[in-house]
Amino acid sequence: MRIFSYACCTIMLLCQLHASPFRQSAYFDNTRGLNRILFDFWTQKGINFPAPASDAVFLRRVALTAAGRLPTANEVKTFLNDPSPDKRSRIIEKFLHDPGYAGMQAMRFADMLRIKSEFPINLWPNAVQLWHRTIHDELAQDRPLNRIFYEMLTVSGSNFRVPHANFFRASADRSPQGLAKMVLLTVMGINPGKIPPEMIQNTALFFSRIRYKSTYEWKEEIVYTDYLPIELHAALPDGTVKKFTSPADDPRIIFADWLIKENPAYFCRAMTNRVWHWIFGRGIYPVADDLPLKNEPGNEPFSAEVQNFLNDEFIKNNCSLRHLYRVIMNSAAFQAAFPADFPEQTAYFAAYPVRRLEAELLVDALAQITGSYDRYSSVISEPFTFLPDHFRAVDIADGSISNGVLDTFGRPPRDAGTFTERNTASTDSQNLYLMNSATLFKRTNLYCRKLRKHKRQKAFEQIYLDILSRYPTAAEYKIFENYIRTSPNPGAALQDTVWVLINSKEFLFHH
Amino acid sequence: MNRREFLKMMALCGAYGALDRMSGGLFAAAAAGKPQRQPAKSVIEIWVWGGPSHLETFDPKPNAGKAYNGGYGDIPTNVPGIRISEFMPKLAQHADKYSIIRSMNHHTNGHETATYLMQTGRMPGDGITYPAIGAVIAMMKSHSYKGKLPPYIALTSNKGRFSENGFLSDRFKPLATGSNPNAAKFLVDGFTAPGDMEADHLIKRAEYARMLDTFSSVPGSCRELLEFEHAGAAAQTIIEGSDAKAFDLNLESPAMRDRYGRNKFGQCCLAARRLVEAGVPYITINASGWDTHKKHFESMQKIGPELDQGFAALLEDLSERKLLDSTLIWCTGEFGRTPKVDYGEPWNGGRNHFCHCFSTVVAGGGFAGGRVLGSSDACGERPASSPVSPVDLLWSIYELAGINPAAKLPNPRNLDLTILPVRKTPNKLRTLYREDV
Repeated sequence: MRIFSYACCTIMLLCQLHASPFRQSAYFDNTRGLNRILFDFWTQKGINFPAPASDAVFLRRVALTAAGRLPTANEVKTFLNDPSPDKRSRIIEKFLHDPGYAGMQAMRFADMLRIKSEFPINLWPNAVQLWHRTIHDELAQDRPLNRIFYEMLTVSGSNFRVPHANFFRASADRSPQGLAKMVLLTVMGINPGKIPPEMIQNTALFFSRIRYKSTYEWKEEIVYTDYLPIELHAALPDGTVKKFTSPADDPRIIFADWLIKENPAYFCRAMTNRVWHWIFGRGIYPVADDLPLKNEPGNEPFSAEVQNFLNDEFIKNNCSLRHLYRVIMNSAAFQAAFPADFPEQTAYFAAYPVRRLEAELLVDALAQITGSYDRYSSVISEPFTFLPDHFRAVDIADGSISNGVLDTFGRPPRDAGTFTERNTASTDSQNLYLMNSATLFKRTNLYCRKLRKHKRQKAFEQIYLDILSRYPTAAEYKIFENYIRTSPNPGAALQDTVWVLINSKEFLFHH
Repeated sequence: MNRREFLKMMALCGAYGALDRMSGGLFAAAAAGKPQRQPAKSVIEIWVWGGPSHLETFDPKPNAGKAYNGGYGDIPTNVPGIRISEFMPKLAQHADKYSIIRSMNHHTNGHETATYLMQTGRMPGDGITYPAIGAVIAMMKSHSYKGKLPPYIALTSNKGRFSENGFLSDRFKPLATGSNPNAAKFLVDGFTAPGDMEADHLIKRAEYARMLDTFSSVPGSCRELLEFEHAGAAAQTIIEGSDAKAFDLNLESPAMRDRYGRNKFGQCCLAARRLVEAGVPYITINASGWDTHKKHFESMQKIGPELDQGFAALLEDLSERKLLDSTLIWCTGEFGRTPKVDYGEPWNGGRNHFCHCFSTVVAGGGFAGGRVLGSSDACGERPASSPVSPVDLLWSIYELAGINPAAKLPNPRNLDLTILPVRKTPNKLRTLYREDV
């Protein structure tokens, strides 16, 4: 069977244009790890195997996914010149320890945990900074996710001093039902709108003793459990009934013990789906935060085997976020070429899913290319927040700090913490900004000035390395040479090339 | 929101648009035998961000003493019986064009929550972020608005406290123009072309882009890329077209610009008039500088005359151009300011946030002029008659814009939501409608 699949793969590759900068003629090792599961699954489904993406495309994906940035021109050159056979897994490791890694993942977590100063979450800048910085550092150290979430679910204390207390603090709705819905969504990936109301009522009992009190410090609040001398019987989402008799029982600890320790399947499934969504733009289930309690037709993982494999990997490796990234990024699903050769490949992750860069990544990419960054400040009256120059949009802690460009490109408001809050659709106003903005035009002109030191062939190459993270093809050189001849001067032709590439799908999309 | 949800939502929009037109018909029929009136085409919202003092604008209290009125009094208007603050002499000449609600009130003194309430008619906390009225009107009028400019434009910045399109599509997010309309050139980024490229250069560059397009063969099979191509083509028509000229205030005569006041607020009012002429359904002017906790009366010397001149010129100009009837204007803060002046340190004659009683002005688009609804007590601290809630106010704006406020509000989660909370009590603002409504 496996020999047959190799053959298929090779034939398919022969049909490809070898000049494409997007793919290479080789095939994946399908004998180990997630690839073994994926190739068996594709074989069983009759899906054509993917061709591997080219080294340049692969590197760009790794940098954007792990560190939220483009690879630099030097990183591209070094990687393309590296002849060693294991260079892909080594570069993955390098980017998983890149200084940008924790910031990028903290942004994902901050979306999920609704980290923002203002309406309707109202964490206020003090708590935002504390909470975001803590998450950032814990992810940099790869603290096990089960420990992070257990602490969030059980800790009490001031939200200005005990970072994880902000988990229950950052909810627009603080009724027990509201908190139950928030926990179901965030930690279990379940859409609270789709489960029976009595289950919400039951889950709410576990959070019915959470209280908030304020202090003399403006906007500080203490999250704590009030011990009520009332006997409670409450059913967990899997049907197990728990009974608290002692007033000292903290029902949320019983819930956390169940969810994180006793029956971690829901938690693992939620986390693996989130990470899969962060990497591919959609989950192992169709929607990564709309998981059903039990699989149902139309809402199942695209491959149960992949789901189970990742759950096992996650548990076996100490609930490590970095390891989950490592496993997925080393797989053929992550390294598959785009575009698909056959339409059905896309649905089964046998072709890399194309989608627009997230707002922060796009803004940061433009800053990295032009060397000129946007400014951010907060509209919140006190304390004022000014971010230093050369600050990555990815690293902004506070969902309330933004600017018009980030909003235009669909940065999430962090009100509900759902994936749908982030919008990667394309709109007219985004294109007006990219094609016709005076401020962006000024910034790209600064970049063009820097190109003057190069001879024009070299400058053309540099533009491709900086913006598209690859060398231009021979055909592209030729088009450029022809264009220069019709241009008033070579400088204008370079300027136009920058404009063209910044407006290209190849730059604006994950591909 | 994914594509499927978006399409489903747009389908719902269409359906509700149709429902709307039906209910519009029903409203008209209910008005027994009167000739059917066209709903307001455009809405201008003058958002006096921060909370204007009602005492120094439309509800002066000359007899309340210096502790309340700071020594400032009232003046007559061109409508007998209506008197407004002495800070508003130009608006006093146009009282026949607007009506005053002096009994607005709600229960929240925080800027952000009060803004949300005044914009959506709802209190936050149920885990759903509702869209502001501008986004809803932009969506509901999307079937009739054919212009190329965005349907909801903010002069010059957004309120920024919440996501103003709520759960609606980003198409209905307000375009914040940025820049300053009082500057030598009002540069609306993306709409005002950078540099001065010749048309044939632009054509050549576009051709160059097509030749270098590595994904040219893909879009047909990929909806994300197809969507991008469509958006790019739409942007191209705006860049090549003349719609963006609406932002070019230099096309107005210097006399016209003087009339509105050579300051940011005044020129925003002028820009709003040009956008109304371009057919834009919803324009908000977010005025700033009104959160006068300290030295309130000193600040009023600057911002008072700016509001007075800009707003008065807008009313007069729209009226002369026969556009006031089809353009609804509402002017309000998220709340008012404490009627009792705080003369102590560090406020030195300041006023704080005050939600219990404040004033809102409505004009045009079906509202009659020269009327007053409700009143406040002797010091302006509580409504004395006909208290009006944010929902009452929003209800009538929707109604006059031809939108049924009880209609379903399409949302990505398919919840059973209505534009405003549905009530049974009669609409108090009806007394401010023109007789032909």
